[in-house]
Amino acid sequence: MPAKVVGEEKVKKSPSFVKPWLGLKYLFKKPVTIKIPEEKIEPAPKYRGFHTLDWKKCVGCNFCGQICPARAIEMTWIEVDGKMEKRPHPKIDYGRCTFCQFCVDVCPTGALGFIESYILTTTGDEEELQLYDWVPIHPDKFKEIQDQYRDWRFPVEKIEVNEETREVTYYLRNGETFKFKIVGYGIRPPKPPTKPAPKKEEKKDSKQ
Amino acid sequence: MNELLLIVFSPLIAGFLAWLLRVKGVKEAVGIIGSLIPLILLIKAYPSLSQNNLTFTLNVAGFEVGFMLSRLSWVFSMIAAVVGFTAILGMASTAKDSYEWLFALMSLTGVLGVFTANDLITFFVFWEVMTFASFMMVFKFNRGASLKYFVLSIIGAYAMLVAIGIIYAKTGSITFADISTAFSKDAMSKMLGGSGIFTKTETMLIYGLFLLAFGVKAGMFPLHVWAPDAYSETNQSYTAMFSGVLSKAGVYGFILLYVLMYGKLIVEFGHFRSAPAFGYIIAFLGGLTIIVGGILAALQEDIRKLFAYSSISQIGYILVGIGVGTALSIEAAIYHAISHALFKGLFFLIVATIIYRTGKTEFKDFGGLAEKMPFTFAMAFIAILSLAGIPPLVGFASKWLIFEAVIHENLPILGGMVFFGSAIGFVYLIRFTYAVWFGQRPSDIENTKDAPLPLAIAMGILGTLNVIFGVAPGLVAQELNKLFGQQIIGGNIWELDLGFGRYNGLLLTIWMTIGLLIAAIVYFLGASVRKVPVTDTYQSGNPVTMEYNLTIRRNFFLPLKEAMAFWLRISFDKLYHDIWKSMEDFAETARNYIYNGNVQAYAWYLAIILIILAAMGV
Repeated sequence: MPAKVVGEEKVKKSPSFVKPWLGLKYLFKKPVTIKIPEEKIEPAPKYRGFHTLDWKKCVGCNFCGQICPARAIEMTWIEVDGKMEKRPHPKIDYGRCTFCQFCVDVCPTGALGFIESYILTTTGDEEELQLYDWVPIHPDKFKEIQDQYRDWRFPVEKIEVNEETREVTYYLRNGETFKFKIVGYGIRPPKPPTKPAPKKEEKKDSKQ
Repeated sequence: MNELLLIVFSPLIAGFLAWLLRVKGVKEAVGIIGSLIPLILLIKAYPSLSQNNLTFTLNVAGFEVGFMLSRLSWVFSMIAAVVGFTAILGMASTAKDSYEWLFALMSLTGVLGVFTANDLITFFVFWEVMTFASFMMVFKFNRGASLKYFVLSIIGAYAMLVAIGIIYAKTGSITFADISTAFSKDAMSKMLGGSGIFTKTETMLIYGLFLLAFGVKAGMFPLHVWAPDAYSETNQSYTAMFSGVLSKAGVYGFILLYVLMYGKLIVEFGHFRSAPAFGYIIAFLGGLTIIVGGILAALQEDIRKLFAYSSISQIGYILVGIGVGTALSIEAAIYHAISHALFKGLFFLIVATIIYRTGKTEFKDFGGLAEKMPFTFAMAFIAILSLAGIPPLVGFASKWLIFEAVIHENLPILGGMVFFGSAIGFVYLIRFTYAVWFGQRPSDIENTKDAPLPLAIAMGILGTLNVIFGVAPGLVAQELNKLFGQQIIGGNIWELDLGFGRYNGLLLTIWMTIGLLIAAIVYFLGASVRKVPVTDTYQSGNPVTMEYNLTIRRNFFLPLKEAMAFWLRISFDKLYHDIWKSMEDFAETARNYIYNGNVQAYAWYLAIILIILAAMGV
């Protein structure tokens, strides 16, 4: 079958010296623009924004980490209120994330989800850049904050990382704080005694 | 008195009758009689010209429509009547329906009215009749070509109307005599240091507007673009009149410019070398017309287009003659107008015959027709010799006069242009001669017959006149002398004597005949002659059959085309097309903006008008 080709004479227009002035017809029409500080735009429902993580459902299978095309997900061992989570949870680096949400699709338990919020702006300070690297918070919490402000911003104002104690503090926008401790990375659980010497002593003590 | 009216209106009435009757045979007869009446009456009116001019005034709608048959208008009217008659005669064969009879005869009326007009209103009205009728003739054949012709003509005609308006506003008269006196009085007072009724700007404006008006009609160089299309896309018998006579209306207009405001224009524009500056402009544009028309004629692949451009080229000579502005050069120009009408009318009748008999128009379809159409070929031979300017024919006498006039005034650039034009005239005629008449004959025109009788008679008339006026160039020259009332071209009817050069047509014919006799004797006393078929020819010693086309029919002047490639890219046709396209686009844009369907916009227009009125203090 011969390929269907439209004749060139149908496609090629003859140039004109005057016709470009027809572009001025918008001079008296309402300009199509959104005055962003005053007006807001609603992102589409299910707009691919930041992630949420239901820590209760996450089984630490690392499917998300495997499928991530940008390798933005690292499994993280977390200790909340002195109690270590049984499974590692994904920590997402928004410096690399492409927001393809493959990780959400692949998550077998539905623990990882996403929400319409998409705005995250920081300065170049090292402290502020911490915001780009987080373990997502619970969807209900996120939803709550999003509904409260409806400006589609990142729900955390500041993440404080204590290098020594490895304690991470999320200062949420509604004033709450959320603390946990990162005790290790990877799929394998970290060695429980972070400080070997005193623990050995304890063990010795217990043995004794 | 009534004769004049009959001269002007009989073709129109005949055309109307032919249109109404639409009986085959009758309409042709009526049309031919209608075009014959002016010719007979003009010849009859000739003796009375020497006493006083024939005039006639008609009161129509509050206007006095005046006609006058002066010597000048008689000469031009005779061109119109003779060539018009032959063209109408040709149309008896080639016209397809009564529509063509109506408009062909109407345009003859128009052009006769233009030539016999005695005031500017009559001139303008008949100018428009002529334009409209010729437009309708082309319109039947090709819409695009006719609209191009019409728009350009209308621009020219209304430029003229504006000029007439200015003149009328200033002088309060429309008759030629009054205007002429007013202008000469004005020039006189200007020379004496006073301020005339026309300022310099106004004079220049009127001159420019008339230049536009007459330039369009004559086919002057930047305004010639309509001619190739309009001349080719119509009944070719009619084109004999279209090119032979209607373009002379423009020439007549330029002469009228001299009659009306010569002194004033000289005073305002001054002289350039020995020519008046305003005339030099006409002459220079005429020179460009010769060159452009000639080169483009050589590069055409269509027989009709070739002669259309040739027509433009020949008009250039007339404009040069008029522009140079001496009595001799104007006489030469009128002479060339006559001879151009004669040979170009003949050419277009030949083209009409060829197209009528073969149905083909392009050079690639022709060849070897001389054997099949001997009479037409003989006529074409006369026309070719005449156009190219070969001595015993009228084309030589008129071109020679123009050359002499230009050389006498010592205008080297114009002289170069005119001579180049003469050379290029040979060039395109050789193309016509070679591709149509000689060489192999394509098998599909093997059974072509010779010209039909009406066309043959028409060609015969023009061919005979070409020869007569060529052998006896004094016939025309003596008549033209009477225009100026003095002996500008001396000699008798056989001889033109300019004082610094002479041309004896009879003597030259006799000598040429003797020369031909000697040549014939040498030829016929030579070796025995044997007729061979056309394929029995050279071809580097190879055998040739009819399947080989050895006649060059396409791109005959390819090297010329290549040499001129840069110049040929500059096309005024394209320029006008672009301008017209831009105007169309502008109209569309304006329509979109102004009539935008927004009620508030219309309210704003009202408000703006009110503001303007307020600002004007109404």
